Amino acid sequence: MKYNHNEFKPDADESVLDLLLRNQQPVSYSCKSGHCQSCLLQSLEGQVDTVAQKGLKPTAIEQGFFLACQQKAALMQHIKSIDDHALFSHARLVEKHLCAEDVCRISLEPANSLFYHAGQFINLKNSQGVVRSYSLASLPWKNDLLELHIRLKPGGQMSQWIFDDFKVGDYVEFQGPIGSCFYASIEPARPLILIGNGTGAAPLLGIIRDALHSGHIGPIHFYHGSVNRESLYLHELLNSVQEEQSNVYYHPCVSEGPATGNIYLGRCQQLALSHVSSVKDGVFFLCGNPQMVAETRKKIYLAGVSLSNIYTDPFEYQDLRKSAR
Amino acid sequence: MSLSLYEKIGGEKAVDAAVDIFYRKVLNDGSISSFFDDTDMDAQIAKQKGFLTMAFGGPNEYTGKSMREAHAPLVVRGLNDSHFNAVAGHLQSTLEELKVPEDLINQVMAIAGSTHDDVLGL
Repeated sequence: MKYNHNEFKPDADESVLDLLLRNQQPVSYSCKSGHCQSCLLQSLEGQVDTVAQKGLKPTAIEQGFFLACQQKAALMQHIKSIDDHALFSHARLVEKHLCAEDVCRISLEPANSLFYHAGQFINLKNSQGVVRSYSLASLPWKNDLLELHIRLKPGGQMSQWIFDDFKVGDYVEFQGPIGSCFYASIEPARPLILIGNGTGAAPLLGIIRDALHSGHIGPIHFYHGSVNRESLYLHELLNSVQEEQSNVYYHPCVSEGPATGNIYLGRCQQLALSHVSSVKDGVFFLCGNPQMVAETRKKIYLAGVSLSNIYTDPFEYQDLRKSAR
Repeated sequence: MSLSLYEKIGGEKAVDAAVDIFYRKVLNDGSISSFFDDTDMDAQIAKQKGFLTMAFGGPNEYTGKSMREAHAPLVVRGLNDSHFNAVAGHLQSTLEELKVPEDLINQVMAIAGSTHDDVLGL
């Protein structure tokens, strides 16, 4: 297989991304599971697998773009990297606010206004070339600012950079919007069930804002799970949304006590699953820890909810995987 | 021109509706769920869709050989007649739940039944 100007010999079943990484080629990637689109490359000659173009825009498919992590290298004869300017644009940091010890909220002003759905994500690329995905908690029509919630991950190259080095007025490159976990053409009376742990609450906050803005009248249940009260970083905000909106029910959950007031002691997905039988006709959104998302999706499905009514956004953390994929 | 079995059942839409019900039944059946308990649910569902499309007489790439190869590891793990019959039963009740006419159900079951020897490696 030829990549730019060099030839590489793939092993059987090896992905394009693994082949390039094995040969120390500079190539950006993050989730390695076909979601984040940060490993996009362009096919010049070869047979692109359908899974390697899943979720791509028609214009991207037309140009032969594909996800390197999902494409078998043995099927490709000639591929090339995509020019940065075709994928990335610029945004300026206008606000950075610490919401909890390990969570900060940032607002970015894109150079050109962006059309997106709240709940989709963008890929940020910092000055060292590290690329990571973050979900959009803001609404596109409220103002032009993009709101992201960043969780500080020990050893996380991007989150550490955002916490320590990224200053108001600085520019960052971004790609997107990407993803299909958002509120769109849902009948306004159906129940919405949002389940997220940690900063999985960010896309859910975007989705609830979008739903309320769109005049959703069905009940909206928001289950947010975290370690303790201090890390429930949207507690005040969601309590006040619940007070203002008669159809919003906020269910804060902590895995470590104490649990006071309306806070439930236990996992947010457990609490949500105990309520599933009453909202089988609902639309579910699951965001955050990939294992939680996968297991909860399966349990909700087995409880009788159609898979087409379960949207997911698993947060894959590149640096923190226990084993290589 | 008369409609094919696949068209009469409702084509890809019918496959989508059936897979949702069928896969849930299979996973909820403790006697066979371990054969389907892949952590990658989407990959499993894609396989079930392929199977149902074939059973509905639709366009597919199944061959006796691919059927045999795909199930060989399961045969090693003890796949037998009782499991085959359980899956067939879930297929039948899925189609009944979807109110597919009886004569069409019989045709689907005949196609599914024709895979018996290849699935069990006989």
